Amino acid sequence: MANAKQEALELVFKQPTFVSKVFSQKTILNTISVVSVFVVWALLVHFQVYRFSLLPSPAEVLEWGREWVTTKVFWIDTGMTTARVLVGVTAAYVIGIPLGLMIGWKKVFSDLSFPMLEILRPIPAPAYLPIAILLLPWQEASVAFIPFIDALFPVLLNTIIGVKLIDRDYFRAAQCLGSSPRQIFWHVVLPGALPSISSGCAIGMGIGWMGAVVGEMITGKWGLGYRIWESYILLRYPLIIDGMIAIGILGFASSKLIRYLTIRLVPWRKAITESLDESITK
Amino acid sequence: MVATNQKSEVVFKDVAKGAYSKKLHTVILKDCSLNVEAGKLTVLIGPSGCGKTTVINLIAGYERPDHGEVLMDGQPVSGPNWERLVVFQETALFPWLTCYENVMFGPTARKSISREEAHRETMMLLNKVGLSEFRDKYPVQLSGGMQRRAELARALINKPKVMLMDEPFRGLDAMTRKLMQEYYLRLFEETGCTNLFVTSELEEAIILADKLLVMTNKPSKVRKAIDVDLPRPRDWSIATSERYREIKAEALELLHAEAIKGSVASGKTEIDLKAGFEKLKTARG
Repeated sequence: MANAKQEALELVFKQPTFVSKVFSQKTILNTISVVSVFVVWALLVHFQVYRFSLLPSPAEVLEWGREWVTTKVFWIDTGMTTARVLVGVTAAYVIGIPLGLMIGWKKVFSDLSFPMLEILRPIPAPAYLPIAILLLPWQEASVAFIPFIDALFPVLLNTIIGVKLIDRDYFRAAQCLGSSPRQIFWHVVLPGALPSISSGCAIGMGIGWMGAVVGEMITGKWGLGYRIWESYILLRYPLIIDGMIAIGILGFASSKLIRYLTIRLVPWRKAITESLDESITK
Repeated sequence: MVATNQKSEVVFKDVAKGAYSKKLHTVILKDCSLNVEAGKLTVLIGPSGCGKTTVINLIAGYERPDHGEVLMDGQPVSGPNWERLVVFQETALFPWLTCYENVMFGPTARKSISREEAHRETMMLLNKVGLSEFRDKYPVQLSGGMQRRAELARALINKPKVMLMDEPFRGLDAMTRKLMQEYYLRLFEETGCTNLFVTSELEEAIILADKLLVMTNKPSKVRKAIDVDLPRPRDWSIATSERYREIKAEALELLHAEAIKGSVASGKTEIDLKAGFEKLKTARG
C-alpha cells in the first residue's frame, strides 16, 4: 500500500530539483521582464537618446539608493507613508465592506445611496483634499483621507458585486431552512461575498499607495511622495527614481500580504485545489 | 430513524400565475388544480419550460399565485418555511460550509433542538447517506452524487411536512442518477413523508411515483393524474413489468401530444426539423 502510494507520488510528481526550480520558465521570464527594463533604461541614458540625457543611470540610482536606505530619513519617510496608507485603507475597509454588503443585499439601501455614490466616484481623490484640510483637525488626517477615498470605491464596488453574484438559490435555501434575515446576512450574504471582498481589499491596498503618494506631494513634510518632489526641486534626480522603486515594492508587497491574509478567510476556495492534490495522492 | 411526525397535503385551487417583464407577459399557470396527497410521492412531469418549477416556488412560498389558492392542510401558504423544504436543481449546498455544517444549518438556524441533539442527528443522517467520512469536506470536494445525498440529509434533518424536489438529480451521469433514484426511494419508503418530485424524465417519474401528474404546455395545468399502482418497495427491476410499460405508454402519448402542440404553438421547431431532414436527404443524393 505504502509502496503503491510512493510509486504514484513518483509518477505524478516529478519532484522538482533545485536547479529545475531556479531555471524554470517562470523564473526566467520574470527575470527577463525586470532586467530588460533596466537594460533599456541604461542604454537610453548612455547613448543620450532624446532627453534621456537628463535622467540618472541605473548605476547612479543604485549608488544613491544604497546610501539612502542607511539614513534615518528613509525610514521615517517609509514609516510615514506606510502609516498613512494603512490608516486610509483600513478606514476604507471599515466603511466600504459593511456599506457594500447592505447596498448589495437590500434594494432600499441601493436605491438610497447608489446615485450619490455614482456622482462622487468620478471625482479624483486629490480634489477632496481642500475640503479634507478644512474639515479634519490635523494635517495627517487629511493626507490619509486621499488613500481612503481612493481605496473606498474598489472595496465598495467589489463588495456590492460579490453580494449580487450570490446564487438566488442560496438565499432561498436559507429561507426554507428557517433563517431569519439577520442569519441570512451572516451566513449567506457575508460568506458568499467574501471571495470578491478579498480581491477588493487587495486592489484597494494597491490604489491606497498611489493616493498616499499624491497626498504627500501636495501637502506634508515627510513621506516618500514628499521626498520624490523635494528631490526634483533640489535636483537630486537619482533619489526620485529610488523613491519610485521603494513605493512600487512596498505597494506590491502589501497587496500580496492582503491576498495572503484574506485567502485564509475563504477555505472553501482553497479546498478546490487541495482536493485535487488529495485525489492524486490517495 | 428519521420519522416525520406530521404528514401534510398540498392543494392547488384554480391557480394562475404569470411572468411579467417589460417586453413579454406570459401566463405560466392557468386553471391549475392539483393535489399532493399526504404521505404519498407525487411526481410532476411535463414538457420543458411548462412551469414545473413555478409550481414548486408557489408551494415553497417564494412566489404568490396571481389567482386562486395554494393551501397546505387547508391553510394558505404565506411564505418560505421549513415545513415545506425545497431540494434544488443541481445543488444549493452552501459552498462555504462543510458537509457537516450544511446539515447542521437548519437546526442551528431554527434552534429547534439542542446542539447535542442536532449533532447526534446530523451524524446519524450522514452515516445513513454514507457521508460520515466526508463530514469535514466542502461541497466542491464531493462528487455530484455525494452532493445530492448531503442535500437530502440537510433537508431531512428538519423533518419537513412536505419535501419539494425540483429536478434534484439533473446533471448527474446516468449510472449515478439510477443509484440516487433507488436511494431516494429507500428514504421515501422509510419516512413516508409527503413528497412532490418534479422531473422531465418519464422513466424516473414512473419508478418513483405513487401518482403521476402530467402537465400541459403553457399556460399549464394538470392534463391527467395517473395512479402508479406498482408495488413497493421498488427498484429498477420493475421496469420490465407489464404494468410499468402500460403506464409508460399512456404517459408518453400524453407528453408527445403536448410536445407537438408546443412546437406548433412556438411555430418553428417542427418546420426547422423538416427543413433539416430535407437537406440531409438531398445531400445524400
